[in-house]
Amino acid sequence: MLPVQLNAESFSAYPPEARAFAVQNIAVLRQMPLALLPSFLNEAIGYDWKLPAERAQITREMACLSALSPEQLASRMHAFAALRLNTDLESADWVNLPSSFLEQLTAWLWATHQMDAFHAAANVYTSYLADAAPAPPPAMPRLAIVIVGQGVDETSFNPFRKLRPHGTYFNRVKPEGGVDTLLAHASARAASAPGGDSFDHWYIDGGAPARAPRLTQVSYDALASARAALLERTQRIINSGDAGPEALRSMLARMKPEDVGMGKSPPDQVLDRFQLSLLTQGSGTQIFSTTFVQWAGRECLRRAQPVTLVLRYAPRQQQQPMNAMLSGELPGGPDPAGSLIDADMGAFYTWLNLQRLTGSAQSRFVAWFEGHGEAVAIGPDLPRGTISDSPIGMSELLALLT
Amino acid sequence: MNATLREIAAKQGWNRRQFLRTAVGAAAAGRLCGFTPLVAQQMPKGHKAVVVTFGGGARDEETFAPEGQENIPHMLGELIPQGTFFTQVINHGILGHYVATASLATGAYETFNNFAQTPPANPTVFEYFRKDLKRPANDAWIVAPSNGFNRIGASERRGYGPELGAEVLLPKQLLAAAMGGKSGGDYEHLLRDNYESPLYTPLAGGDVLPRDLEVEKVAGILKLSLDDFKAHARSLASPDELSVFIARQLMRQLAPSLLWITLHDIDIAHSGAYSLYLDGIQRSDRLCGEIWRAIETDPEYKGRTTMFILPDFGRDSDVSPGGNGFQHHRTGDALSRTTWMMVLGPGVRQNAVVERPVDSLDLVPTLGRLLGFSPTYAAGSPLREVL
Repeated sequence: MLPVQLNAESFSAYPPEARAFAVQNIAVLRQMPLALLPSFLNEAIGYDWKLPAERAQITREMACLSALSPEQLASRMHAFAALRLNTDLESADWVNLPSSFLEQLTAWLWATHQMDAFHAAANVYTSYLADAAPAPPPAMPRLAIVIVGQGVDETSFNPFRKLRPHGTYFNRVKPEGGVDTLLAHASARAASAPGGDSFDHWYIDGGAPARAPRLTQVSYDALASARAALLERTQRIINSGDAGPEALRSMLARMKPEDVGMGKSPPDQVLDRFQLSLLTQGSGTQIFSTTFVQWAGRECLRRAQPVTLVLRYAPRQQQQPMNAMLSGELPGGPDPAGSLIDADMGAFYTWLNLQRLTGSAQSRFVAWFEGHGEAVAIGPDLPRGTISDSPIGMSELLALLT
Repeated sequence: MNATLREIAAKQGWNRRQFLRTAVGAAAAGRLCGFTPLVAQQMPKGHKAVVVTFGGGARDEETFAPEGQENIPHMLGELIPQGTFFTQVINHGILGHYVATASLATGAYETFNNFAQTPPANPTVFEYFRKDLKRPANDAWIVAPSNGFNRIGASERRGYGPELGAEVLLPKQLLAAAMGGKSGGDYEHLLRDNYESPLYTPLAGGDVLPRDLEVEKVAGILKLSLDDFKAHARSLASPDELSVFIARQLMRQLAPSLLWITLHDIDIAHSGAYSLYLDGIQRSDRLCGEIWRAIETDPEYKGRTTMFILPDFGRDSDVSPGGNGFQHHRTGDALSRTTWMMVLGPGVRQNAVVERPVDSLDLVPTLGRLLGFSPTYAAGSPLREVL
């Protein structure tokens, strides 16, 4: 089947809102090349469970493409249309199983040395959409807070080396009540935010979450049973001998929250789907809490585009062999020192990803070594590459960013 | 990309040569007047080659850039001063570890599914070596991580094939088989396998797992009882340490002329734990030093062995929007395709740097010129700077 053959019936297996969205935009979908369309459908098929920012983005992009003449659209799609595909790809069920198609397409592009051409086409296309259908600026300056180093008493590790050139490094922060202060600040932002949606303010914790009203919460501990169920299910498939890595990836992409015991209470399909995706699409998120927090922060920024984000790292388990971990054997103890290094890099990545969002010039960022005096703060009014060795409380530090 | 990200991208364009000049005082080979011609033809009879590849490339910022130098003290302090360093080795092929390593071994970009247990389409360096030089099977060995690498020793190309290929040792599978399929807690930490898949890839089973008879045979070749093998494994911290232990046993017992070792610990980066990725780099650095010292202290190897060290490819940059930094090598960006190579041995200029871009495929033609075989189907070119 080729895109030009699409009709309303093609989407009959889609969830209701996704089906309506696809049918409404079928004229544009028919004009998209096969090398691109399944990537779009892979997003659209989950429309019912997309976060508000994602829905807005898909809708914006489709409106932008719909406004083009057929000739203009063809011109925008030319680089994708020029890629050479094969009959197996054309005959695949790319409408209903776009993620499986993308696995096949990826292998084909690599094998035929067309991956670079695909990347080039994708870069041009996404740049065009970013310019032609830009995301709106945030309702208030974005703020990301990253708390690292929980459980580390003494260390020779020098934190925030990658972040310091971009802001002010504080080495005498008063640590007392630091976590509570930071979370209260985030909650207060959520309370005072003008309008917005319920996914504008987030708190992601690598252990058990602290109290943080008004923030959308995700935590590694709260997903313990889902993680265990996912690993058990994966292990069962592996032991069957029927699934290699690609089949496993496709299986993970098709999973639903109820498959791993989620979705019972509270009934929030959007958040459940988001949390499940962290476990099924992230490498290592099922095993290391530090990886979970870093990936969750990345995905939160990319997909929810929040105005407030708090990430708090907790000690991950010591490294164990994959086999033992996935078999549920007793894990080793926590590794606070290694987790601090993981989290330090994760903090840098969070700041990088914050820079990718609209309003980045006004965004604020704080990373703090929990229980210690080291922090780095980055904001439009803070000097870059400087050190402050004056004592400062957490509230005062936050005040420098408001 | 906003201005801040552009700044970071520019910083990542750190010039390895600039670093080497400041860190170890290495000279640019291109500035030196004239190479010694045809060194390969003057090589002592019985010249040997050891190739060490890293499956799971390491980026500049964790290795050769100033902030990464603390992770590679052995390469910096011991190896680079004794060898020629190529600063830009470009991999234009598929960025999956098995298929990329197979491409290194054939000198042609292989295009098979990285996760399939498939032999390379083109003849391997081992087949060229054994066929042209009429070498016995025991003269070419591979020590590699398990899973798909078990087919890397030979192609199925007409006129070549397994009967001319290398013997492949997969230490982790040997260990699993030696334990009779019951991996006790003492050994579990060595048995992890491919980190590239989203969750986990099992140890290859069925036909691929060595049978007891084969384990006994290998143990006999290595002059190592199964009990000794298991006991030694108990003392090792990682699969790569096990691989190097096996490689050194091979060197002592068989002294193969062509030995290929693929290290893989660095690929723990796919789990997203940065500290474990750094541990892998530091371990690989130490093991490379150990391998070179083993060469230099073994009479069968000393003075007649050229060692090549190279990652199969790099990893994604921090600023590539499609990736997640060090964790993967999926974007195909320049950083994930560009790596380096170090060459040490007799006739190789010491403390020299080659700046021109070379191709990953140049390894096999270089080995061919060095050892005296003709890699007919290889696409690369011999690296004149080390010949």
